[in-house]
Amino acid sequence: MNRNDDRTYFRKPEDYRIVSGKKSNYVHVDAYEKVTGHGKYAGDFQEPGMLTCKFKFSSHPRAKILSIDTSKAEALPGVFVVLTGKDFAKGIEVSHVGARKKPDKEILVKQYVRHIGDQVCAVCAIDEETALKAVDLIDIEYEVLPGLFDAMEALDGNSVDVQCYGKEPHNVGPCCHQQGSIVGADIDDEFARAAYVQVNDFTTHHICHCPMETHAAFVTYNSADELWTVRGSCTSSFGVQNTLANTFGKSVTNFHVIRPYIGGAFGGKGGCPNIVIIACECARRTGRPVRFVLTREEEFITQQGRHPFNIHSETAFDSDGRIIAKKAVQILDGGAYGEASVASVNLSALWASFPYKIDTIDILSKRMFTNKSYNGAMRGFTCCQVAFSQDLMMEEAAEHFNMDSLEFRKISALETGYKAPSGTVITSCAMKQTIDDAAAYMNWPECKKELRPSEGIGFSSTAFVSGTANPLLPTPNQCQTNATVRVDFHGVVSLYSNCHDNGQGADTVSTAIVAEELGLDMSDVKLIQSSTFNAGYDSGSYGSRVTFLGGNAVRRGAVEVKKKLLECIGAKWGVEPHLLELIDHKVICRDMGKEDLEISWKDAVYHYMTCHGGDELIGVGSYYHRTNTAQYQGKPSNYAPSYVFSTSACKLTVDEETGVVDIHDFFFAHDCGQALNPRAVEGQLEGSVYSGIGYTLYENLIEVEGRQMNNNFHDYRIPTALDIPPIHTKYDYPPEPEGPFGAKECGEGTTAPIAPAVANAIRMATGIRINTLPLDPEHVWRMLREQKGSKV
Amino acid sequence: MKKVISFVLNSDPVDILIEEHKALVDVLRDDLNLTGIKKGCEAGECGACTVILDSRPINSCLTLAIEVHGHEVTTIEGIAKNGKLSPLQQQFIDKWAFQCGYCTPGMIMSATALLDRNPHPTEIEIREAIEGNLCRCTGYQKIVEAVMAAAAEMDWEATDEQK
Repeated sequence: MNRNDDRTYFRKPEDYRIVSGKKSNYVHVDAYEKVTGHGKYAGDFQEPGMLTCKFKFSSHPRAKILSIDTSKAEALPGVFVVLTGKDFAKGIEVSHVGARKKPDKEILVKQYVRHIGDQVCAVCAIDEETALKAVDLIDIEYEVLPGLFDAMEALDGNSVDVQCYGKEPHNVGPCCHQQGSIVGADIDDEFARAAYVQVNDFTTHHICHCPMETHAAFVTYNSADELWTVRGSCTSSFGVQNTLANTFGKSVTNFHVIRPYIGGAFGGKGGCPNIVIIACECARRTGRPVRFVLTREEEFITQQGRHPFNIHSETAFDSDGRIIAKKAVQILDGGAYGEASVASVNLSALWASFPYKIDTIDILSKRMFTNKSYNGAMRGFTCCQVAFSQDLMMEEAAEHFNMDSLEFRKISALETGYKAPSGTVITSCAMKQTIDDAAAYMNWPECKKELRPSEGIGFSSTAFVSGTANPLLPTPNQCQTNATVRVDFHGVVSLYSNCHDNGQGADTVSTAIVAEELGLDMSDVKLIQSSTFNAGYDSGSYGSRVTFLGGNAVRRGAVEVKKKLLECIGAKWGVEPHLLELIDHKVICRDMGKEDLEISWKDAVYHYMTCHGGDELIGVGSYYHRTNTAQYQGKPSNYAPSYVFSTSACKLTVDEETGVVDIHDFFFAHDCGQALNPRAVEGQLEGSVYSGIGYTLYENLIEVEGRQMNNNFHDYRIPTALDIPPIHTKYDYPPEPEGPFGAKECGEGTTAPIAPAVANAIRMATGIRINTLPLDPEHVWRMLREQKGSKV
Repeated sequence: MKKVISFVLNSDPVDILIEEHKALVDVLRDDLNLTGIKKGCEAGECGACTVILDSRPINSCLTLAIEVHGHEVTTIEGIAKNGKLSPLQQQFIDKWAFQCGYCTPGMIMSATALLDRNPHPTEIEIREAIEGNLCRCTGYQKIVEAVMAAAAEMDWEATDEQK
């Protein structure tokens, strides 16, 4: 189903009870399990006879393996399996219709290691201690090769071939070139007629997701049925199932992937990590349960973190300060492998024009390979980097035009109805309102007069997708998600949905949507902790898609239940079914003169089943936003079913002696359409600000010659409770017509406008020009010394 | 070397044979199946494994199990009494003070120890008490609110009992 469905039975806004904005305030459906410690995460599962796995990692960022001797490890008592690359014919196939067909990452490396986190061998033993001893007993002989550690050097055709594939041109991964004009203009003509061209160069740094739960997998194997039961800290059960089936040459029916609780993902748990594959192979070989949990250091070296960027942009403005065209070249440091890299280049090109109306564009994104830990999706997928460049560019251009920077942003701000050269279609947009709200909160521009020395206020506006058009696997009608709503004769509703809850509250919002549509309480709706065998397809938690796409699917499942029930009761009463509604556990009648008719939910369901030979009342729902795959070739394509808009504002002080930035106050306005639960939205926004502050001021994964120097929480500083300023949020904006009850994305793209707001505030406080991240004390101190010299 | 240790765990006496070099977190999770406490770093940085030793919150990953011999250990599984959630647990629910929930057990243990020793903490005292508990989801604001609300509620309950 999609946006063109019949909406006769959709609940009307005046009847909303649960999702009605400020009044609604329900709690997590998994709250009890999470506050009592009873909720089970993948690494919490254990069974008698369970074995434990450990990896032998590469010792070098780039080297040729000359020999591997596992004999001593195999001879160690308590060791059950030692695996090397020879045990796996295939590499890891990425479950992504737009991804390269050939896997570029091996499960265990056979010949060439390409970064320090490359896994060469895996050991499965009776306990962790024995597995670690065995890992130490494996002898690997390497021929160390020179590595390549700089994405800009990788552009040079004569540089080291990172992946050792011998292909030309080497080191160039996926590229996306978005060119076009919706006004039929030539980009060179637009630049020639421009009143002003703002030219900038930016760089951003490398960080990691750091979910508090490291990657974990627990697998059992039933040899009689050739059935693997898999619990992994993964956010796409069907993606995992598909990869496993391809890897082992089996059918998907051989893999029962069950979703446990996920201890945070932030984009880093989207694929099928090879700990799952290794655990499956070891379970198959031994017949015993196998658990594989990464340590924090292993999590760092195997993680697919946030891409460092080099961005060159040229933006053309007319004499009114309106953007007329933009050219940009964005170089992504991909690290050693590709995986989700199609989306990273494609999206980074898309963000390059957000959140503005830019009629003519020429945006090139290139992802380069280097011998470093590789990068992928991370909260705000490449938007954090591109938005940093876009917003600082706007701030500088506003200065050139001598205009108020907020008014300047509003001149070109996206609006409802705009169709961009990238193919995006804006269906609802409160961007200007978010700017006005941020200005009002800070009392802008009057507040400038009250600023003390070294104090500054900064703003930033960004836009993001709400959902995607990619179902990962080839599905009927490009359907991205299927839901089933089942009602038994007691009137108890069971909801079957495979939308992954990583902690963002997907289970809770799905339950709320079904309860709302059926006029029930949330406690009447039981969500089934789902698996690939007990609920329908969902492509996973990524792309800010769950509430929008999954929510629309469960809503349609509930609406089908409602339609069937109202048609049955309507026939009983002799009333048109669309004049009936489900309110407060009752079917009520709104037909003139028949308003007294009502029947309880339970009796109505009982009557329905009686009329249908005892068959249960079941509704199915699905949702898709269909495009062609043009988006992966940089051609115009409406990437998402809708888009969201944010403006943030922060007030801070810079200690010019030390470079320490102290944020006093943070405001965040987010157009997520109708908030389905204020507390959940606030939590997402506060978490986004936290995440953005970490990215901007604290976190920096330092790699020297491919070796991570700070892969632990002592040296890689993530913000603590003492580091986060008070955060104020606003999110009351008009509903999105297509969102479930008017809702849109919240919590991913909202990480993007943090770094630029902080940078703009530092610029106001100190006068220094910023074009790089992070803004930790050392970097700020250096910028102050370089730009202001002895004046500091 | 193996050794029998005796301690009080969530109000119940426990005698258990353990390897002397094992960390408390591993004995609790693997041998006693108390998986409510989590492992996040095994280096005393993240606080996910926080338990209360007598009245002090400690990182159970940095504590050898033999060290708790003769002492009292409380884990997240021992916070609810007779099936009733503690006021702090209830406030974590009401204030949406968690998302993924992985840091929550350790966070609740640190905050419980704080409220036990200081029933009227200021916001900064709360932030200091949970500084060693990293949360990657919430931004801490709702956690601080939950602890504040629990303190107020417990204060109210105590006053009520006095009457």
